[in-house]
Amino acid sequence: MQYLKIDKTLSLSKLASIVGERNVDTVLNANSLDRSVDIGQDFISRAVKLAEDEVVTTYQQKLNIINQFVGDSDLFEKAALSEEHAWATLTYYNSFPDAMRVPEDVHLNPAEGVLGNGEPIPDRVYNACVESLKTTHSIDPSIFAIYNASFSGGSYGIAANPDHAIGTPFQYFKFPWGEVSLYSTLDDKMIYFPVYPKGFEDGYTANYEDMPEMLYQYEPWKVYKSSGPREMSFTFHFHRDMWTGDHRDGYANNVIRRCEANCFPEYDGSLVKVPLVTLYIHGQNLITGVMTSCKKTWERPIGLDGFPLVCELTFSITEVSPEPLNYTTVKNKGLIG
Amino acid sequence: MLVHDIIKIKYVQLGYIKKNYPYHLISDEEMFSAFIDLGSEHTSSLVDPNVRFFDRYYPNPFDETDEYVKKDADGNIIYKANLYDAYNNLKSYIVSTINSYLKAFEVSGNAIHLPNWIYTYMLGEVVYQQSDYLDIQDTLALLGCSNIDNEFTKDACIACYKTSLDYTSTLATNTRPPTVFGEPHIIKSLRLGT
Repeated sequence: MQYLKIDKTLSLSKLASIVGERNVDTVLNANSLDRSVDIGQDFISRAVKLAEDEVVTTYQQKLNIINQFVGDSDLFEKAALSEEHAWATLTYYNSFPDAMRVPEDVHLNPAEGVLGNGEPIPDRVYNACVESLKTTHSIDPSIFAIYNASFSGGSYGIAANPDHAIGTPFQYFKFPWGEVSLYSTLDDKMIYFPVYPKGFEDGYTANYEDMPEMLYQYEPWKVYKSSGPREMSFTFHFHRDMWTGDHRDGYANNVIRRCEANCFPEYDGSLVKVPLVTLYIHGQNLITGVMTSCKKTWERPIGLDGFPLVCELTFSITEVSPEPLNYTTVKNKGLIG
Repeated sequence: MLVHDIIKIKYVQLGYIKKNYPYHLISDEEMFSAFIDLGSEHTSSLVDPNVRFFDRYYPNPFDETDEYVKKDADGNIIYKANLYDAYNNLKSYIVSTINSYLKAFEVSGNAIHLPNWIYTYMLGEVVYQQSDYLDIQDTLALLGCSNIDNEFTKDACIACYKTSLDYTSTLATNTRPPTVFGEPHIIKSLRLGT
């Protein structure tokens, strides 16, 4: 099952460029929509009307809806945490207020904001949701919460993994969970780091060529060739115990493997999809680009599994700027940090 | 006519004609109706009366009080025009031209061929805010109205009107009204001028 995130500015021609001209009518039919110029506006105003009419969805209907999404954990979570008008949209139109249903036979580029990750929802979460629906007729968002307040000290709202143990010595340290994260376009997910990177260098370069065979000049004539690219290298120094207190939990390994995976493309037939990564620090986009290297260094002490506990993970990103860069745009960039 | 087929396909793809019909099943009248409001005589179930191509691509950029004033070397006003009305004149001229051609078609049954400059509007090739970024940039540079945001501002529309006024004054009377958008004749006039 797949859904396409949209906003009210979506036009019919833009939709056609995403799903393909031949699939437009199929997608519109799947969402009970007619062709129109402002398809995004029509789609969203339909949900707004349901909200204004205060349509109520029974908990049995909600149960039926979330049962459709057990194969896709992201859709399940989005549906489960919906507001009342979104439940109504799901009931009446089988789509989210801000995401359009796309039939399975329509192939979408993952970079287009596609929901539906194909990862089944864990039994623990599913059972808790069903129980919550049956008892309170709504779903408690804390079921999806990853860290609770006692773990994060109430300072950091985001948590990285629901299975992290509570009650370890590490709960007393305020790790910056959610502060430092790496986003990859291929799986549309964040990788959270428990530490800030060590200090890093940042800067631009400009490239000039010398005019050849210039006679009678006392200095070379410089001819502008290009600028950039901006390259940054980040080093994270962490300990395998920092996730749950048990270094055999595999979370450090998971972070390293997912970083390394961004050095490789995904093949889909003849299509080669290359990941674009974005490093966020304190919610700010520090750099977006391609990962050009990822390496790790292990140091003692040795853990219970016979492997070093301390890791230094270094990766480099070469910028692929989301906006065109020139003298004016760089001069007017926002605050540093 | 090929240009009519191209316009029909374009309007279907953009959604101004609501059904996904092949171009040969769409009449010229429906195509014109999707382009601009031709009046109550010409309505179609294929067209949303609130969403027309011309109104979306080329809305009136002026307020009712905006005026264009031309002065001679001594500062005396030699020409004065209300720009809001200038836009409305252009629009009503297009509507009346299309209506007269449609009537002629009803009588004679011959294929309709409008003046080419109207087709440039129908194809969305006249430069305004919805145009390609580079086209806007090139036109603004010619008009001397470049800006950081690359927006086709009201000043640019006034510059277009000024150039178009000079151009249309060289034509026979009532050939066409001056425009306030980046039509090809403006770009050509400015290029020749430089």
